[in-house]
Amino acid sequence: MERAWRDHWGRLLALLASRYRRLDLAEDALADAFEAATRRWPADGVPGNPAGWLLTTASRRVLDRLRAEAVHARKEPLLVVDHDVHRAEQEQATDPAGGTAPGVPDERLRLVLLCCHPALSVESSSALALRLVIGLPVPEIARLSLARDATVAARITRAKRKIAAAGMPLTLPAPERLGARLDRVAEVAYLAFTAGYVPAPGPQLHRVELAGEAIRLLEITRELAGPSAQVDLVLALMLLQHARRDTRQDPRTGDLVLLPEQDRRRWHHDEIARGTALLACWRGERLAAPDRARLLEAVIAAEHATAPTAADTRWDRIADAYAQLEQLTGSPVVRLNRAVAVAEAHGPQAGLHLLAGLDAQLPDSHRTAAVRAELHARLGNHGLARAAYEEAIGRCPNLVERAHLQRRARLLSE
Amino acid sequence: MKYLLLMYGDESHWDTAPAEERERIMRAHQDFGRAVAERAQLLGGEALAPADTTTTLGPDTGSGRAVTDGPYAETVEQLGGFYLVEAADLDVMTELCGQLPGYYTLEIRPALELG
Repeated sequence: MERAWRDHWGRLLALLASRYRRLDLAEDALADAFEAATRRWPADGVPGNPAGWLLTTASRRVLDRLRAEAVHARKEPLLVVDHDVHRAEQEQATDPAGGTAPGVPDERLRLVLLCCHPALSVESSSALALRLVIGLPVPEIARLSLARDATVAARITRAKRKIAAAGMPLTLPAPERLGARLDRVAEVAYLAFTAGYVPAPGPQLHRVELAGEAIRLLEITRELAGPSAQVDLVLALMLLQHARRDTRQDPRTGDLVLLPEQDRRRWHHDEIARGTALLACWRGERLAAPDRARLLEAVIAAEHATAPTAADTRWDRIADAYAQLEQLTGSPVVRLNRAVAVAEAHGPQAGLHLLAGLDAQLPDSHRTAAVRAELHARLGNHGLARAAYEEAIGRCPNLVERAHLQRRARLLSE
Repeated sequence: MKYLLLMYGDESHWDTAPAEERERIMRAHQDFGRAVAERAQLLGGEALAPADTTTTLGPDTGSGRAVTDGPYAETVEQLGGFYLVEAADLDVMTELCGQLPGYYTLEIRPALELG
Protein backbone atom coordinates (compact mmCIF):
# COMPACT_ATOMS: atom_id res chain seq x y z
CA MET A 1 0.00 0.00 0.00
CA GLU A 2 2.88 2.33 0.89
CA ARG A 3 4.22 1.62 -2.60
CA ALA A 4 0.94 2.60 -4.25
CA TRP A 5 0.92 5.90 -2.34
CA ARG A 6 4.43 6.71 -3.39
CA ASP A 7 4.08 5.78 -7.02
CA HIS A 8 0.68 7.09 -7.87
CA TRP A 9 -0.62 9.72 -5.47
CA GLY A 10 0.93 12.88 -6.97
CA ARG A 11 0.36 11.84 -10.58
CA LEU A 12 -3.27 10.90 -10.01
CA LEU A 13 -3.96 14.05 -8.03
CA ALA A 14 -2.48 16.28 -10.74
CA LEU A 15 -4.66 14.53 -13.28
CA LEU A 16 -7.90 14.58 -11.28
CA ALA A 17 -7.38 18.25 -10.44
CA SER A 18 -6.94 19.21 -14.05
CA ARG A 19 -9.79 17.00 -15.25
CA TYR A 20 -12.40 18.21 -12.75
CA ARG A 21 -10.81 21.58 -11.91
CA ARG A 22 -11.45 21.14 -8.20
CA LEU A 23 -8.47 20.56 -5.91
CA ASP A 24 -10.61 19.93 -2.84
CA LEU A 25 -12.74 17.25 -4.49
CA ALA A 26 -9.74 15.67 -6.20
CA GLU A 27 -7.90 15.32 -2.88
CA ASP A 28 -10.89 13.92 -0.97
CA ALA A 29 -11.83 11.50 -3.74
CA LEU A 30 -8.29 10.21 -4.17
CA ALA A 31 -7.93 9.70 -0.41
CA ASP A 32 -11.20 7.73 -0.52
CA ALA A 33 -9.94 5.64 -3.43
CA PHE A 34 -6.71 4.80 -1.60
CA GLU A 35 -8.72 3.94 1.49
CA ALA A 36 -10.93 1.62 -0.58
CA ALA A 37 -7.80 0.02 -2.02
CA THR A 38 -6.39 -0.74 1.45
CA ARG A 39 -9.64 -2.56 2.22
CA ARG A 40 -10.13 -4.41 -1.04
CA TRP A 41 -6.73 -5.18 -2.53
CA PRO A 42 -5.57 -7.49 0.30
CA ALA A 43 -8.74 -9.58 -0.18
CA ASP A 44 -9.35 -9.27 -3.95
CA GLY A 45 -5.73 -9.03 -5.05
CA VAL A 46 -3.97 -6.01 -6.55
CA PRO A 47 -5.57 -5.11 -9.91
CA GLY A 48 -3.52 -5.44 -13.12
CA ASN A 49 -3.45 -1.66 -13.53
CA PRO A 50 -3.47 -0.25 -9.98
CA ALA A 51 -3.21 3.38 -11.16
CA GLY A 52 -6.13 2.88 -13.55
CA TRP A 53 -8.20 1.32 -10.75
CA LEU A 54 -7.44 4.21 -8.38
CA LEU A 55 -8.18 6.79 -11.09
CA THR A 56 -11.53 5.21 -12.01
CA THR A 57 -12.56 4.85 -8.37
CA ALA A 58 -11.55 8.42 -7.53
CA SER A 59 -13.24 9.81 -10.66
CA ARG A 60 -16.49 8.14 -9.66
CA ARG A 61 -16.30 9.78 -6.22
CA VAL A 62 -15.66 13.21 -7.74
CA LEU A 63 -18.65 12.83 -10.06
CA ASP A 64 -20.87 11.75 -7.15
CA ARG A 65 -19.85 14.84 -5.20
CA LEU A 66 -20.35 17.14 -8.19
CA ARG A 67 -23.84 15.74 -8.68
CA ALA A 68 -24.63 16.25 -5.00
CA GLU A 69 -23.41 19.84 -5.22
CA ALA A 70 -25.52 20.46 -8.33
CA VAL A 71 -28.60 19.39 -6.35
CA HIS A 72 -27.75 21.96 -3.68
CA ALA A 73 -27.03 24.54 -6.40
CA ARG A 74 -23.68 25.43 -4.92
CA LYS A 75 -21.17 27.05 -7.20
CA GLU A 76 -17.54 26.60 -6.27
CA PRO A 77 -14.79 28.43 -8.15
CA LEU A 78 -13.01 26.20 -10.67
CA LEU A 79 -9.29 25.74 -11.04
CA VAL A 80 -7.77 27.45 -14.08
CA VAL A 81 -6.29 24.78 -16.39
CA ASP A 82 -5.15 24.63 -19.99
CA HIS A 83 -5.95 22.03 -22.60
CA ASP A 84 -2.50 20.42 -22.86
CA VAL A 85 -3.19 18.08 -19.97
CA HIS A 86 -6.32 16.65 -21.55
CA ARG A 87 -4.55 16.17 -24.85
CA ALA A 88 -1.67 14.36 -23.10
CA GLU A 89 -4.15 12.20 -21.24
CA GLN A 90 -5.94 11.17 -24.43
CA GLU A 91 -2.70 10.50 -26.27
CA GLN A 92 -1.37 8.36 -23.47
CA ALA A 93 -4.67 6.54 -23.04
CA THR A 94 -4.50 5.42 -26.66
CA ASP A 95 -0.79 4.66 -26.48
CA PRO A 96 -0.42 0.91 -25.93
CA ALA A 97 3.11 1.43 -24.55
CA GLY A 98 1.85 3.67 -21.77
CA GLY A 99 4.54 2.68 -19.26
CA THR A 100 3.92 1.47 -15.72
CA ALA A 101 0.74 3.49 -15.30
CA PRO A 102 -1.15 3.45 -18.59
CA GLY A 103 -3.52 6.38 -19.08
CA VAL A 104 -1.81 8.45 -16.36
CA PRO A 105 0.45 11.14 -17.87
CA ASP A 106 2.85 12.75 -15.44
CA GLU A 107 1.62 16.26 -14.77
CA ARG A 108 3.08 16.55 -11.30
CA LEU A 109 5.27 19.51 -12.22
CA ARG A 110 2.14 21.63 -12.68
CA LEU A 111 0.97 20.51 -9.26
CA VAL A 112 4.37 21.22 -7.67
CA LEU A 113 4.44 24.72 -9.15
CA LEU A 114 0.87 25.41 -8.09
CA CYS A 115 1.52 24.28 -4.51
CA CYS A 116 4.66 26.45 -4.43
CA HIS A 117 3.06 29.47 -6.09
CA PRO A 118 4.61 32.73 -4.83
CA ALA A 119 1.12 34.05 -3.97
CA LEU A 120 1.00 31.48 -1.12
CA SER A 121 3.11 31.74 2.04
CA VAL A 122 6.13 29.42 2.15
CA GLU A 123 4.62 27.67 5.20
CA SER A 124 1.33 27.04 3.39
CA SER A 125 3.18 25.84 0.32
CA SER A 126 5.22 23.41 2.36
CA ALA A 127 2.15 21.83 3.96
CA LEU A 128 0.25 21.84 0.66
CA ALA A 129 3.05 20.20 -1.32
CA LEU A 130 3.53 17.49 1.29
CA ARG A 131 -0.20 16.78 1.19
CA LEU A 132 -0.94 17.06 -2.53
CA VAL A 133 2.30 16.08 -4.27
CA ILE A 134 3.77 13.61 -1.78
CA GLY A 135 0.46 12.38 -0.37
CA LEU A 136 1.30 12.60 3.33
CA PRO A 137 -1.84 12.56 5.50
CA VAL A 138 -2.55 15.72 7.54
CA PRO A 139 -1.79 14.16 10.98
CA GLU A 140 1.57 12.99 9.63
CA ILE A 141 2.45 16.48 8.35
CA ALA A 142 1.41 17.89 11.73
CA ARG A 143 3.57 15.40 13.63
CA LEU A 144 6.60 16.04 11.43
CA SER A 145 6.30 19.83 11.53
CA LEU A 146 5.51 19.96 15.27
CA ALA A 147 2.15 21.61 14.63
CA ARG A 148 -1.38 20.70 15.67
CA ASP A 149 -3.53 18.68 13.25
CA ALA A 150 -6.15 21.44 13.19
CA THR A 151 -3.53 24.07 12.36
CA VAL A 152 -2.16 22.11 9.42
CA ALA A 153 -5.63 21.21 8.16
CA ALA A 154 -6.71 24.86 8.32
CA ARG A 155 -3.56 26.00 6.54
CA ILE A 156 -4.12 23.52 3.69
CA THR A 157 -7.82 24.32 3.39
CA ARG A 158 -7.14 28.04 3.24
CA ALA A 159 -4.44 27.58 0.60
CA LYS A 160 -6.74 25.45 -1.58
CA ARG A 161 -9.48 28.04 -1.24
CA LYS A 162 -7.16 30.84 -2.25
CA ILE A 163 -5.88 28.89 -5.25
CA ALA A 164 -9.42 28.53 -6.59
CA ALA A 165 -10.72 31.97 -5.61
CA ALA A 166 -7.70 33.94 -6.79
CA GLY A 167 -7.40 32.05 -10.06
CA MET A 168 -3.95 30.54 -9.54
CA PRO A 169 -3.54 28.32 -12.58
CA LEU A 170 -2.55 24.65 -12.84
CA THR A 171 -0.42 25.40 -15.87
CA LEU A 172 3.25 25.51 -16.81
CA PRO A 173 4.75 29.02 -16.87
CA ALA A 174 6.52 30.39 -19.94
CA PRO A 175 10.11 29.03 -20.11
CA GLU A 176 11.63 32.40 -19.15
CA ARG A 177 9.57 32.42 -15.94
CA LEU A 178 10.24 28.83 -14.94
CA GLY A 179 13.54 29.68 -13.17
CA ALA A 180 11.90 32.05 -10.70
CA ARG A 181 9.17 29.51 -9.99
CA LEU A 182 11.70 26.71 -9.40
CA ASP A 183 13.51 29.04 -7.02
CA ARG A 184 10.38 29.13 -4.91
CA VAL A 185 9.98 25.35 -5.07
CA ALA A 186 13.55 24.98 -3.77
CA GLU A 187 12.79 27.45 -0.97
CA VAL A 188 9.64 25.57 0.05
CA ALA A 189 11.44 22.21 0.00
CA TYR A 190 14.31 23.59 2.05
CA LEU A 191 11.91 24.96 4.65
CA ALA A 192 10.33 21.52 5.01
CA PHE A 193 13.78 19.93 5.10
CA THR A 194 15.09 22.14 7.89
CA ALA A 195 11.83 21.75 9.84
CA GLY A 196 12.72 18.04 10.03
CA TYR A 197 15.98 18.94 11.70
CA VAL A 198 14.63 21.48 14.19
CA PRO A 199 15.16 19.83 17.56
CA ALA A 200 11.87 18.74 19.07
CA PRO A 201 11.19 19.63 22.71
CA GLY A 202 11.12 15.91 23.56
CA PRO A 203 13.46 12.91 23.64
CA GLN A 204 13.42 12.31 19.85
CA LEU A 205 16.02 14.63 18.33
CA HIS A 206 14.88 14.90 14.71
CA ARG A 207 12.08 13.86 12.42
CA VAL A 208 14.23 12.81 9.49
CA GLU A 209 11.29 11.42 7.48
CA LEU A 210 10.20 15.01 6.82
CA ALA A 211 13.63 15.84 5.44
CA GLY A 212 13.41 12.72 3.25
CA GLU A 213 10.04 13.87 1.85
CA ALA A 214 11.46 17.31 1.08
CA ILE A 215 14.25 15.64 -0.90
CA ARG A 216 11.63 13.61 -2.73
CA LEU A 217 9.76 16.79 -3.67
CA LEU A 218 12.90 18.21 -5.29
CA GLU A 219 13.78 14.90 -6.97
CA ILE A 220 10.35 14.88 -8.59
CA THR A 221 10.74 18.51 -9.63
CA ARG A 222 14.17 17.89 -11.13
CA GLU A 223 13.02 14.77 -12.95
CA LEU A 224 10.21 16.72 -14.62
CA ALA A 225 11.73 20.21 -15.09
CA GLY A 226 15.30 19.14 -15.89
CA PRO A 227 18.49 20.47 -14.29
CA SER A 228 18.53 24.02 -12.86
CA ALA A 229 20.91 25.76 -10.46
CA GLN A 230 18.03 26.60 -8.11
CA VAL A 231 16.88 23.03 -7.60
CA ASP A 232 20.18 21.17 -8.08
CA LEU A 233 22.12 23.12 -5.46
CA VAL A 234 19.46 22.90 -2.78
CA LEU A 235 19.02 19.22 -3.56
CA ALA A 236 22.79 18.68 -3.30
CA LEU A 237 22.89 20.47 0.04
CA MET A 238 19.97 18.45 1.39
CA LEU A 239 21.42 15.12 0.21
CA LEU A 240 24.82 15.88 1.76
CA GLN A 241 23.30 16.80 5.12
CA HIS A 242 20.69 14.07 5.12
CA ALA A 243 23.27 11.35 4.33
CA ARG A 244 24.46 11.61 7.96
CA ARG A 245 20.99 11.05 9.46
CA ASP A 246 21.60 7.59 10.98
CA THR A 247 24.65 8.70 12.95
CA ARG A 248 23.46 11.88 14.66
CA GLN A 249 21.98 10.22 17.72
CA ASP A 250 23.32 7.30 19.77
CA PRO A 251 20.78 4.49 19.18
CA ARG A 252 21.21 3.10 22.73
CA THR A 253 21.39 6.20 24.91
CA GLY A 254 19.65 8.69 22.61
CA ASP A 255 22.59 11.07 23.13
CA LEU A 256 23.55 13.59 20.49
CA VAL A 257 26.58 12.48 18.44
CA LEU A 258 28.55 15.39 16.99
CA LEU A 259 30.10 15.25 13.55
CA PRO A 260 33.66 14.28 14.58
CA GLU A 261 32.40 11.29 16.59
CA GLN A 262 29.91 10.06 13.98
CA ASP A 263 30.54 6.63 12.46
CA ARG A 264 31.37 7.56 8.88
CA ARG A 265 30.82 4.00 7.67
CA ARG A 266 27.14 4.45 8.43
CA TRP A 267 26.75 7.59 6.35
CA HIS A 268 24.81 7.05 3.11
CA HIS A 269 27.71 7.25 0.69
CA ASP A 270 25.55 6.83 -2.41
CA GLU A 271 23.67 9.99 -1.44
CA ILE A 272 26.93 11.83 -0.75
CA ALA A 273 28.18 10.85 -4.22
CA ARG A 274 24.97 12.11 -5.81
CA GLY A 275 25.16 15.36 -3.83
CA THR A 276 28.76 16.06 -4.83
CA ALA A 277 27.99 15.20 -8.47
CA LEU A 278 25.09 17.69 -8.54
CA LEU A 279 27.32 20.28 -6.93
CA ALA A 280 30.16 19.70 -9.42
CA CYS A 281 27.84 20.65 -12.32
CA TRP A 282 27.53 24.24 -11.02
CA ARG A 283 30.90 24.92 -9.40
CA GLY A 284 32.42 26.85 -12.30
CA GLU A 285 29.21 28.61 -13.38
CA ARG A 286 28.30 32.25 -12.92
CA LEU A 287 25.41 32.28 -10.47
CA ALA A 288 22.92 34.78 -9.03
CA ALA A 289 23.57 35.70 -5.37
CA PRO A 290 20.99 33.34 -3.82
CA ASP A 291 22.28 30.41 -5.89
CA ARG A 292 25.85 31.35 -5.04
CA ALA A 293 24.92 31.19 -1.33
CA ARG A 294 23.40 27.75 -1.85
CA LEU A 295 26.50 26.62 -3.72
CA LEU A 296 28.75 27.70 -0.83
CA GLU A 297 26.55 25.92 1.69
CA ALA A 298 26.70 22.77 -0.41
CA VAL A 299 30.48 23.12 -0.75
CA ILE A 300 30.77 23.21 3.06
CA ALA A 301 28.50 20.19 3.46
CA ALA A 302 30.51 18.33 0.81
CA GLU A 303 33.82 19.03 2.59
CA HIS A 304 32.41 17.46 5.76
CA ALA A 305 30.78 14.55 3.97
CA THR A 306 33.81 13.56 1.92
CA ALA A 307 36.52 13.81 4.60
CA PRO A 308 37.69 10.21 5.27
CA THR A 309 38.09 10.98 9.01
CA ALA A 310 37.26 13.96 11.20
CA ALA A 311 40.97 14.78 11.44
CA ASP A 312 41.20 14.93 7.64
CA THR A 313 38.52 17.65 7.40
CA ARG A 314 39.76 20.59 5.32
CA TRP A 315 38.77 23.29 7.83
CA ASP A 316 40.74 25.88 5.87
CA ARG A 317 38.49 25.39 2.84
CA ILE A 318 35.39 25.37 5.04
CA ALA A 319 36.47 28.60 6.79
CA ASP A 320 37.08 30.16 3.39
CA ALA A 321 33.62 29.17 2.12
CA TYR A 322 32.03 30.56 5.30
CA ALA A 323 33.90 33.85 4.85
CA GLN A 324 32.49 34.16 1.30
CA LEU A 325 29.05 33.21 2.55
CA GLU A 326 29.18 35.79 5.34
CA GLN A 327 30.15 38.46 2.85
CA LEU A 328 27.21 37.45 0.66
CA THR A 329 24.55 37.18 3.37
CA GLY A 330 25.77 39.21 6.37
CA SER A 331 24.09 36.59 8.54
CA PRO A 332 25.16 36.29 12.22
CA VAL A 333 24.45 32.53 12.09
CA VAL A 334 26.95 32.21 9.25
CA ARG A 335 29.47 34.17 11.31
CA LEU A 336 29.00 31.78 14.22
CA ASN A 337 29.66 28.79 11.97
CA ARG A 338 32.62 30.60 10.47
CA ALA A 339 34.03 31.12 13.97
CA VAL A 340 33.84 27.35 14.57
CA ALA A 341 35.61 26.61 11.27
CA VAL A 342 38.28 29.25 11.87
CA ALA A 343 38.93 27.85 15.37
CA GLU A 344 39.52 24.42 13.83
CA ALA A 345 41.75 25.78 11.08
CA HIS A 346 43.68 28.47 12.95
CA GLY A 347 43.18 27.81 16.67
CA PRO A 348 40.56 28.62 19.37
CA GLN A 349 41.76 32.19 19.93
CA ALA A 350 41.08 33.13 16.29
CA GLY A 351 37.60 31.59 16.64
CA LEU A 352 36.82 33.49 19.86
CA HIS A 353 37.81 36.68 18.12
CA LEU A 354 35.01 36.19 15.55
CA LEU A 355 32.37 35.64 18.28
CA ALA A 356 32.61 39.25 19.42
CA GLY A 357 29.25 41.00 19.26
CA LEU A 358 27.27 37.88 18.30
CA ASP A 359 25.36 37.62 21.60
CA ALA A 360 23.59 40.86 20.82
CA GLN A 361 22.69 39.69 17.32
CA LEU A 362 21.52 36.21 18.38
CA PRO A 363 20.05 36.90 21.83
CA ASP A 364 17.81 33.80 21.99
CA SER A 365 20.27 31.24 20.72
CA HIS A 366 22.24 28.98 23.03
CA ARG A 367 24.78 28.22 20.32
CA THR A 368 27.02 31.31 20.67
CA ALA A 369 27.50 30.54 24.36
CA ALA A 370 28.04 26.83 23.61
CA VAL A 371 30.76 27.61 21.06
CA ARG A 372 32.40 30.15 23.36
CA ALA A 373 32.40 27.56 26.18
CA GLU A 374 34.02 24.96 23.96
CA LEU A 375 36.74 27.33 22.73
CA HIS A 376 37.56 28.57 26.24
CA ALA A 377 37.76 24.97 27.41
CA ARG A 378 40.30 24.22 24.70
CA LEU A 379 42.37 27.19 25.76
CA GLY A 380 42.28 25.96 29.37
CA ASN A 381 40.18 28.96 30.57
CA HIS A 382 38.02 26.72 32.78
CA GLY A 383 36.29 29.51 34.68
CA LEU A 384 35.15 31.29 31.51
CA ALA A 385 34.22 27.97 29.92
CA ARG A 386 32.07 26.94 32.90
CA ALA A 387 30.20 30.25 32.92
CA ALA A 388 29.53 30.01 29.18
CA TYR A 389 28.27 26.40 29.49
CA GLU A 390 25.87 27.50 32.25
CA GLU A 391 24.57 30.24 29.97
CA ALA A 392 24.13 27.83 27.03
CA ILE A 393 22.38 25.19 29.19
CA GLY A 394 19.96 27.82 30.48
CA ARG A 395 18.91 28.76 26.94
CA CYS A 396 18.88 25.34 25.26
CA PRO A 397 15.32 24.13 24.56
CA ASN A 398 16.10 20.53 23.48
CA LEU A 399 16.64 17.77 26.07
CA VAL A 400 19.20 15.83 24.01
CA GLU A 401 21.30 18.89 23.28
CA ARG A 402 21.06 20.13 26.86
CA ALA A 403 22.26 16.75 28.18
CA HIS A 404 25.21 17.03 25.82
CA LEU A 405 26.14 20.50 27.14
CA GLN A 406 25.82 19.28 30.74
CA ARG A 407 28.18 16.38 29.98
CA ARG A 408 30.74 18.78 28.49
CA ALA A 409 30.51 21.08 31.53
CA ARG A 410 31.00 18.11 33.88
CA LEU A 411 34.11 16.97 31.97
CA LEU A 412 35.57 20.40 32.67
CA SER A 413 35.50 19.97 36.46
CA GLU A 414 37.01 16.46 36.38
CA MET B 1 -11.70 35.65 -13.90
CA LYS B 2 -12.54 39.20 -12.95
CA TYR B 3 -9.92 41.07 -10.90
CA LEU B 4 -9.97 44.41 -9.15
CA LEU B 5 -6.51 45.90 -9.23
CA LEU B 6 -5.98 48.47 -6.47
CA MET B 7 -3.06 50.87 -6.70
CA TYR B 8 -1.66 52.33 -3.48
CA GLY B 9 1.09 54.87 -3.21
CA ASP B 10 2.43 57.90 -1.43
CA GLU B 11 0.45 60.80 -2.93
CA SER B 12 3.32 63.19 -2.40
CA HIS B 13 5.27 61.22 -5.02
CA TRP B 14 3.02 62.49 -7.80
CA ASP B 15 2.66 65.96 -6.26
CA THR B 16 6.39 66.51 -6.13
CA ALA B 17 7.32 64.59 -9.30
CA PRO B 18 9.11 66.55 -12.04
CA ALA B 19 7.51 66.66 -15.50
CA GLU B 20 9.61 63.76 -16.90
CA GLU B 21 8.61 61.49 -13.99
CA ARG B 22 4.93 62.34 -14.48
CA GLU B 23 5.32 61.55 -18.15
CA ARG B 24 6.93 58.19 -17.28
CA ILE B 25 4.00 57.37 -14.99
CA MET B 26 1.45 58.28 -17.67
CA ARG B 27 3.34 56.20 -20.24
CA ALA B 28 3.40 53.24 -17.85
CA HIS B 29 -0.40 53.38 -17.64
CA GLN B 30 -0.70 53.54 -21.42
CA ASP B 31 1.64 50.52 -21.75
CA PHE B 32 -0.45 48.70 -19.17
CA GLY B 33 -3.59 49.53 -21.17
CA ARG B 34 -2.05 48.15 -24.36
CA ALA B 35 -0.79 44.96 -22.64
CA VAL B 36 -4.23 44.40 -21.13
CA ALA B 37 -5.87 44.87 -24.55
CA GLU B 38 -3.54 42.17 -25.95
CA ARG B 39 -3.79 39.53 -23.25
CA ALA B 40 -6.94 40.32 -21.26
CA GLN B 41 -9.85 42.73 -21.23
CA LEU B 42 -10.17 46.07 -19.50
CA LEU B 43 -13.58 46.44 -17.86
CA GLY B 44 -12.94 49.76 -16.19
CA GLY B 45 -10.56 51.90 -14.21
CA GLU B 46 -10.03 55.38 -12.86
CA ALA B 47 -7.42 57.56 -11.24
CA LEU B 48 -8.83 58.90 -7.97
CA ALA B 49 -8.77 62.38 -6.48
CA PRO B 50 -6.47 62.76 -3.42
CA ALA B 51 -7.43 60.74 -0.35
CA ASP B 52 -8.18 63.87 1.71
CA THR B 53 -11.21 64.50 -0.52
CA THR B 54 -12.76 61.25 0.77
CA THR B 55 -15.97 61.24 2.77
CA THR B 56 -16.32 58.25 5.07
CA LEU B 57 -19.71 57.06 6.31
CA GLY B 58 -19.58 54.87 9.41
CA PRO B 59 -21.80 51.82 9.94
CA ASP B 60 -25.43 52.46 10.81
CA THR B 61 -26.12 50.82 14.16
CA GLY B 62 -29.57 52.31 14.52
CA SER B 63 -28.84 56.01 14.95
CA GLY B 64 -27.80 56.77 11.38
CA ARG B 65 -24.37 56.90 9.82
CA ALA B 66 -21.64 59.11 11.21
CA VAL B 67 -20.15 61.22 8.44
CA THR B 68 -16.41 61.97 8.66
CA ASP B 69 -14.14 64.05 6.50
CA GLY B 70 -11.20 62.01 5.20
CA PRO B 71 -10.39 58.36 4.41
CA TYR B 72 -11.24 55.31 6.56
CA ALA B 73 -7.58 54.80 7.46
CA GLU B 74 -5.05 57.63 7.54
CA THR B 75 -1.90 56.06 6.12
CA VAL B 76 1.00 57.30 4.02
CA GLU B 77 0.11 54.89 1.22
CA GLN B 78 -3.35 55.71 -0.06
CA LEU B 79 -5.55 54.23 -2.76
CA GLY B 80 -4.82 56.30 -5.84
CA GLY B 81 -6.63 54.42 -8.56
CA PHE B 82 -8.03 51.11 -9.72
CA TYR B 83 -8.54 48.91 -12.74
CA LEU B 84 -11.12 46.20 -13.28
CA VAL B 85 -9.70 43.52 -15.55
CA GLU B 86 -11.00 40.25 -16.98
CA ALA B 87 -7.96 37.92 -17.22
CA ALA B 88 -7.34 34.20 -17.59
CA ASP B 89 -5.62 33.76 -14.25
CA LEU B 90 -3.56 35.34 -11.48
CA ASP B 91 -0.27 34.78 -13.31
CA VAL B 92 -1.48 36.82 -16.30
CA MET B 93 -2.57 39.59 -13.92
CA THR B 94 0.78 39.57 -12.12
CA GLU B 95 2.66 39.77 -15.41
CA LEU B 96 0.48 42.66 -16.63
CA CYS B 97 1.19 44.52 -13.39
CA GLY B 98 4.86 44.56 -14.37
CA GLN B 99 3.99 47.51 -16.65
CA LEU B 100 2.67 49.77 -13.88
CA PRO B 101 4.80 52.42 -12.09
CA GLY B 102 7.26 50.86 -9.66
CA TYR B 103 6.41 52.98 -6.63
CA TYR B 104 2.87 51.60 -6.30
CA THR B 105 1.89 48.82 -3.96
CA LEU B 106 -0.57 46.72 -5.94
CA GLU B 107 -3.38 44.57 -4.62
CA ILE B 108 -4.98 42.02 -6.91
CA ARG B 109 -8.36 41.08 -5.59
CA PRO B 110 -10.47 38.46 -7.38
CA ALA B 111 -14.17 39.22 -7.74
CA LEU B 112 -16.58 36.54 -6.50
CA GLU B 113 -18.38 34.78 -9.30
CA LEU B 114 -21.98 34.76 -8.19
CA GLY B 115 -24.16 31.96 -9.44
